[in-house]
Amino acid sequence: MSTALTTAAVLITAVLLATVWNRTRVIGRSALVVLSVLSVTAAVAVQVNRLTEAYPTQTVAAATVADDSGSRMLTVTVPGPASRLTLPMYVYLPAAYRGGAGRFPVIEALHGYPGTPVTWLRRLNVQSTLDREIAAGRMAPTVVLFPYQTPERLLDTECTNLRGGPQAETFLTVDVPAYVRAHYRVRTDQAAWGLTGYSAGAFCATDLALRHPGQYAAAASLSGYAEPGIDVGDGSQNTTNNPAWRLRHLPQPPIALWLGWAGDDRESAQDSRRLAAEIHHPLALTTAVLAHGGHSSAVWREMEPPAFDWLSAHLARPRA
Amino acid sequence: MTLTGWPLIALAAAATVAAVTVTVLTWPRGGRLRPVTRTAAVLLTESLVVVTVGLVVNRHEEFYPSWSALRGDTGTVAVAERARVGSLDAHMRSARFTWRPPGLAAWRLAGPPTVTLPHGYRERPGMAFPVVLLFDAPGRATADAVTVTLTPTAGTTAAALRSLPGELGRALRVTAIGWDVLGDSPVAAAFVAQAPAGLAVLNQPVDALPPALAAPLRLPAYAVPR
Repeated sequence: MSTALTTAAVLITAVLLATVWNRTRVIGRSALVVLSVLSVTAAVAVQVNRLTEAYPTQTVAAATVADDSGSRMLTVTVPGPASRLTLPMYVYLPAAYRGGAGRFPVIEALHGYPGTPVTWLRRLNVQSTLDREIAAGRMAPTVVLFPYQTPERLLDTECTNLRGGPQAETFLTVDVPAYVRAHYRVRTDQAAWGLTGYSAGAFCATDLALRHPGQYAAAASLSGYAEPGIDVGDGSQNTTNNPAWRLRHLPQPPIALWLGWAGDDRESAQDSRRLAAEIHHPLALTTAVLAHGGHSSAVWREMEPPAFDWLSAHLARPRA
Repeated sequence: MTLTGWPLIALAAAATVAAVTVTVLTWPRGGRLRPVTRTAAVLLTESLVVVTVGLVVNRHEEFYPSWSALRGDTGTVAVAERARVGSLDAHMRSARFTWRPPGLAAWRLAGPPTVTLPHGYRERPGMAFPVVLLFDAPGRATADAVTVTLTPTAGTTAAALRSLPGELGRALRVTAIGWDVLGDSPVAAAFVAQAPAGLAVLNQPVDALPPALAAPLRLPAYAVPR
């Protein structure tokens, strides 16, 4: 809808510019030029938003509820008493969740910046990917969470607790787990919790796993980075919120990391190779490299099934 | 011409400048078709400006470093590993048996290990199962895991047992990660400490074992220089 509207606006302003120009003076002509520029800017912004899903234009829940016996994608709101953030979250419940009494392993899947979890649902088709991997027996039935990571869409938190700003790390590592444990049949032990993410969300997955090894057993990074690339406000972007620094200067925890990147995604490839070179026992490393594809949804769609398969193999099984 | 190269950006910029120039020069002309030519010129100019800015941003951010990336071609396909077959899979008559691998003597155990297979091992030929390694601690077989019971002697060392995961991996369909090593023997602790990262955990609850899974989809790996 917004694509059609902005395209129409571009066309209309171009026609107006062409037809009314000779009948107007300086002010009218200036207004026409400004309108044209605004319409083009709006059209570009709409397309960028379509790519990043920073401001999703449609609700996704209705489109992602499978049949009565299949998996479900729920939309919930997570109140955050510890972080003081209250944000929406999508929750994937596998088909095996229906009617059973077991408790399931959990994966927190984090989105890139700018963006929202809707990218996982729409551009990365995560529900059908999870359904397919579970049905093929390559992945155990798992509850997968898709939380928002920031209250302001254009504020890049990199899942850290920004000094004087949103406490994203606390929301993701305290409030989200507490909410999920209270509302769903999930396992509560560290062995059953994992993280994944693409782009900035991949950085988040690596950083949070290294910072909270008592809470997460494994993390999969899809085109991630070694550093947050933002100012956290306390200098920790150079130390404790910097996976490269942590791996070099702190004892490495006995968890598992999966680092994936595209060979032509220069920054992510360079950073991921840097992290891989620093990793040693007892931290376990698996790598995955695509020939090319850049920093794009196509790369993440290709990495998605292997990353979820790997995560499931590194997490505790569903508990009967 | 590469997608992120200066030649393409220069070409786009030059085309933009040319379009602006043509638009300005032809603006008063065109006769009855003037609204049409003007509209076309404006739209062409706007499109070229957007393309040029997009190319510059893409060069800086490297979202799509190549034409193939722009087409969504990654040049790589995740493939399902072939389901491995254990060398003993076709020969087992019982779910519990004595295991005599080729390297057994070097382990200097009190006797050959006992292996107990989980229910459904034979019925699920595409699955790899997690392992419970019982050190001097005879116990019950663990559901959905291959249980190996061994009795070390004073001569048993963790270094010698380093070949055990490989031997078991050739004999049976077992995972290469997440083994649960149970027992108070110092050899058990040493085995876990010396095992490759991720292979084994000491005395974790058996319900923390990973699931039995089919062979995963995999992508090519990067050889980390050491």
